[in-house]
Amino acid sequence: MIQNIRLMSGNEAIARGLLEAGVNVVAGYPGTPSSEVIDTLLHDYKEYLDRVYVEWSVNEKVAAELAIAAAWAGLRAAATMKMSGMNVASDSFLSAVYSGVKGGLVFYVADDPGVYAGMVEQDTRNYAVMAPCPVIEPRRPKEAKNFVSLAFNISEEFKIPIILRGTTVLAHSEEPVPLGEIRIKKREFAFEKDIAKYTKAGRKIVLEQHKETLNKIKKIKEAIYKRKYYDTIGNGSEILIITAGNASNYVLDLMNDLKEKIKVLRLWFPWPIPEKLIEEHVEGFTKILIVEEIDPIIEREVRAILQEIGSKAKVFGKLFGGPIPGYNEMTPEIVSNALAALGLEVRAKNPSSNVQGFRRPITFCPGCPHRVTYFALVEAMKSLGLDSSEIIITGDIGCTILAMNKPFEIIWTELSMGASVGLARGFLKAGKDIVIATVGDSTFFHATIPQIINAYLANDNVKVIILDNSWVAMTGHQPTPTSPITERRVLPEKILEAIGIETKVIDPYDVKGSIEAMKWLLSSKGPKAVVARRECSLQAIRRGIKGTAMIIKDKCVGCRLCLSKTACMALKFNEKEKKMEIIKELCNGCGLCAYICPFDAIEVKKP
Amino acid sequence: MTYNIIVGGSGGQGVMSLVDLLAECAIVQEYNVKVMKYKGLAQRGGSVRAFLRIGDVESPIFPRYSADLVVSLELAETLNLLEYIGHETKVLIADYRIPSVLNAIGIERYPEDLLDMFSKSGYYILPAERDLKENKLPVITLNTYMLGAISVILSDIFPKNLILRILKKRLKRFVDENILSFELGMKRAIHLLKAP
Repeated sequence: MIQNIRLMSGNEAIARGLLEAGVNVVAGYPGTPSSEVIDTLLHDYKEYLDRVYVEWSVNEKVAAELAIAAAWAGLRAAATMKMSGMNVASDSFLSAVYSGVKGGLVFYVADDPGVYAGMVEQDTRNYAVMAPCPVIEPRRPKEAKNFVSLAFNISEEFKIPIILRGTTVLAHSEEPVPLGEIRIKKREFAFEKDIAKYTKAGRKIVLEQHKETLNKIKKIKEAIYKRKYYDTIGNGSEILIITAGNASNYVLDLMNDLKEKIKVLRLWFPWPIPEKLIEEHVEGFTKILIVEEIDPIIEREVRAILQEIGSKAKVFGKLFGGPIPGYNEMTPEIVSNALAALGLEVRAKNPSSNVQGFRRPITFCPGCPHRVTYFALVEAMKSLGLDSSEIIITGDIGCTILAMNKPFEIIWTELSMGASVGLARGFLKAGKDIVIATVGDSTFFHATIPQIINAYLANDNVKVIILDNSWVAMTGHQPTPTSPITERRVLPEKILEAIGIETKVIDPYDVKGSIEAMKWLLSSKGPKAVVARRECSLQAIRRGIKGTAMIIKDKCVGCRLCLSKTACMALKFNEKEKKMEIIKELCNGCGLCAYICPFDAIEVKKP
Repeated sequence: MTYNIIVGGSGGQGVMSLVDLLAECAIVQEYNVKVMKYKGLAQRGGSVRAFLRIGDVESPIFPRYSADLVVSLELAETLNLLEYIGHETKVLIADYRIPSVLNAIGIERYPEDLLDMFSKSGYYILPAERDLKENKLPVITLNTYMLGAISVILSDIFPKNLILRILKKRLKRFVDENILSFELGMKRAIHLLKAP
């Protein structure tokens, strides 16, 4: 491969772009599809980490504030997060927009249209409208790298934070990206005390800040227009398509067939939009199609501008029953169907068959400590005569939520980070006697501690199970405060005890001991906790900590009880021999199948 | 020229590394490439898929029914790729079966008659599980086995010698086993092409 070009994902390109733009501080919290930016900086650019500070923060608000103050001090700073994380960071972010910045401040927020790994189809561009601040949206990895520099320049020139919006396809698609020079630039500390700028001392000050922010937006609009921060493609006269980000790729792929008929205005900044830009481009068109991903942000703005200038052109998009659905990710089909609805037929291929797909629901990995913890919980409930169809178990975000799937299906709710304990308290106030809340270690630190403090103060009968696998496993094994990698660790039991919550710590690979601890948890009164600590088995195996198990063929009767109770993918039924087999590479010796087997036919070698 | 490829399978089968290798092979020949990996929940027993587009295109995702090549590393996963198969699509399927959780716990049966259905449609089905077992090759080399088959079916874009050179450069372990699997997949594909 040519030396200065590398196949990179959008996230890897953004990481590279941060370094090429001379960033000084980067902080974030892991969340699909945003995580690889910081992962890449930490793993692929280690040689710069003595000069660029990069951190996985405990939550997005922590990351945001670190980046905001660094930018106030004149440094170039970035925060990275998924869309839900922006909600956590937004309290500080929105306030920081009013204050403005000295050094460039870029918030890279990755949205998840189509909900591949999220709870909502949140369009982060709404924050730009709300703040208000500019948002820049690259359409491909190569451009994402270059837009990082542009984002810093705009942020510094207009002294305002800027959102760099990604989506799943931008973040995880790859293309060859030409590498630029990495220019690490040391910047001197330059924060100056300025109460009118950096505090909210009275309504007069805040209103002045708001007014000033609106002025900045006006100037940014002029800059976007004058410096041509947009592209026009094609010279057709039938339909004008206004688009941005990854969604524009589906339009551009149709240009070969349609360049005589359509003209495309591709915005680099989906917000704010200069009025003059729209006024100029709509001239002569009677039909305008807006192609954007998730919410009709551009569409609303364009409709408002057209009304203001008295244009008669008709806008088609997501609003008022338009041809583009208001939910789900953009696809080539949605674009061609929308064009067809406007009278432009696009060549489409036909299916060769019409058969139902194969369902492969996700479950706990082989060796996952969570599987044993949930099994122990269910066993303890049974032995205490607690009806699992009556007892609410709330879930949280991350791998711990997989108990909502088969074979367990015991989680009742999934809402947001930390909501397991918060919701449990609500159910208690609404009339339940006992509620169980389950949460992972990273989620515990991220947003669950305040709810636990309230539970202690109110002496709520909430039973908190912290499934501590010591990594942010679901998003690709980023470190948490409990990760066994540094001397500085923070353990949930210390925090729980400091609050006043009686807590037991268990090893889930000790099945019997775990069931006993769960019985204690469920039969005691008041707020209590169990911390189930065992490293994520994928990560443990990577670090050389590996157990296994084997079937004693003479004893196995082929009843498959082990498989149906655990759904462990390391267990395989041999149809010919009518006996179980264990896939050694996958098994990590958790011992659950051996515990379940009524014939003692499984021998375990613990890791 | 534009060439649309999609590779699917079950998490952990090596879908992503197979696509990485094909992408590098195309880049070396100075083609433009775009890759999109749907990998989010791969390690938890879910389905995974990756798109590879070669040529001058803008989007990494191509429209339905317009794949030139579909590769499935798992038999039933082919069902999830049908929406990309059009009348001119070449389809390469590994007859390798990984039951889902639903199959494992007995809620759903692993679909039957797939071999019959797919061969009637003219798809190339490689007896991967049998070939690997008979030659005592580890499952981890299934993706190189399929790579061998791709080098036969699409020899103009993925010539054997170039693939082998890139493969050898990338392999960190099971080097001999992977080369053997590659050759086995090649032989099998040549055999399939000759069959009436």
